Amino acid sequence: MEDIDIRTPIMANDQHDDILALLPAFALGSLEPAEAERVERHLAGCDGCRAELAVYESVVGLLALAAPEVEPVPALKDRLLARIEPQQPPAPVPAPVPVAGPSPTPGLGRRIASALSDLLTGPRWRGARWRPALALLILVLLAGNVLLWQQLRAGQSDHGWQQIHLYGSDSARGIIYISADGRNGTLVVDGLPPLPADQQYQLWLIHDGQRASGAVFSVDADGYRGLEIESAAPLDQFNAFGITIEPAGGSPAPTGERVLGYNLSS
Amino acid sequence: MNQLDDPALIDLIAQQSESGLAALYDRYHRLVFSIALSIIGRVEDAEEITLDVFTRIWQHAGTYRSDRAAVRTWLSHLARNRAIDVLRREAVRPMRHSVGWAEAGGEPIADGPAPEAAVQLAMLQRRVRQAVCALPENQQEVLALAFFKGYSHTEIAGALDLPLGTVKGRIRAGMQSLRAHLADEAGPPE
Repeated sequence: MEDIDIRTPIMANDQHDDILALLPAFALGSLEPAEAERVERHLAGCDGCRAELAVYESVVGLLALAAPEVEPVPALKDRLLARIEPQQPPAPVPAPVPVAGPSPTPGLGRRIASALSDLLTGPRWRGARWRPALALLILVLLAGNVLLWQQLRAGQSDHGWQQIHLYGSDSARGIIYISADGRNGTLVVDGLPPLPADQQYQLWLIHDGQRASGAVFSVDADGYRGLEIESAAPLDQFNAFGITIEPAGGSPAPTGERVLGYNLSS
Repeated sequence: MNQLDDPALIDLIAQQSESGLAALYDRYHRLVFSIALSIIGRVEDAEEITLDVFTRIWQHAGTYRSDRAAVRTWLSHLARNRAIDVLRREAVRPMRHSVGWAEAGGEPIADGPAPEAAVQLAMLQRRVRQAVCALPENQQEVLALAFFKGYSHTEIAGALDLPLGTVKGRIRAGMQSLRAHLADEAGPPE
């Protein structure tokens, strides 16, 4: 039983075999942190293993159906309906401010939903206490407030978030938000051209010339994406940031065209 | 309302439809409550987690992405994570706490009208339970500690006084067997 072989033809080397053996436990969440990190690193560049993982995650989802079933008291439904309150209707989007600057792009609702989905349901969010502020930040940002884009110059926000603008050519723009303690960060980009399937954007975190990957991502049809930055080191320790075009899944080091960037020391 | 599929109910909930939430609750409250109770072991806490899960659905239905997971999977995931979080916050994790899987027969379909969704859920439940019960007991045991308690390999080895390698092998073999038995269901979201 313990030697069931589920390997598929796409797995061609020892590393794949090692990672494959860990995927069932990774999906279940029972790996030790170091093993889980090793799997995550491999997954970032391996479509085959990501597909395998998706199947095991489905198995984990099905396991919930094998819990012994117990009926809660009928009054629980009444408690639920008494607890919920209609959400406040969304505040009207302020009229565009008649100042020079980029216009908001279409697809606002979908972008908000996508951003909130990424940020609120992400499996490895490290600082839940920042979620409300971050969600609000994204909503405000996506509300198409041109003035906000102009105001978001490098500096401290009212909430203690450090804001760093990424500059490039054309209409592309980006902002990195770093929490006051430096442990959490979010990247929001807009106006980046969607890439072909074999390419993705990659965020680089740079300190004294050393580059570490902070995110590998694609953008939607409007060129928008908001996502959490992954970093082992506090984000406020980096003195430069850049976004390049890389092969899908990302690269160990930058190889492609730099489309956005910012150097704090310049 | 009972004839609507899950994503349609979520759409209604995103528009703040209380009847939509009530219908989703009717469909999945036993599943959510049962997961929470299996993990936490206390009825009051399981009720609170159930309320939390459906309240969260109420607040965030608009973020649901049908291409990522089935609604049932989303609810199960929320219930399991929330309950395990509660366990971990307590910092007291009884290592031999009794956990186990349902019998293979499955639960009877609830009284009242049995819309198609309820019948499908009951049939799927039966297939999953049969697959779990077909595993050797030692594999069921380690999978139960991992799934219901959120234990790591090392914690399971400590709880059961087994070599680490044995635990890893049993979890891997158990998951691989489930995958083989549930190949038709373990795929992209419906």
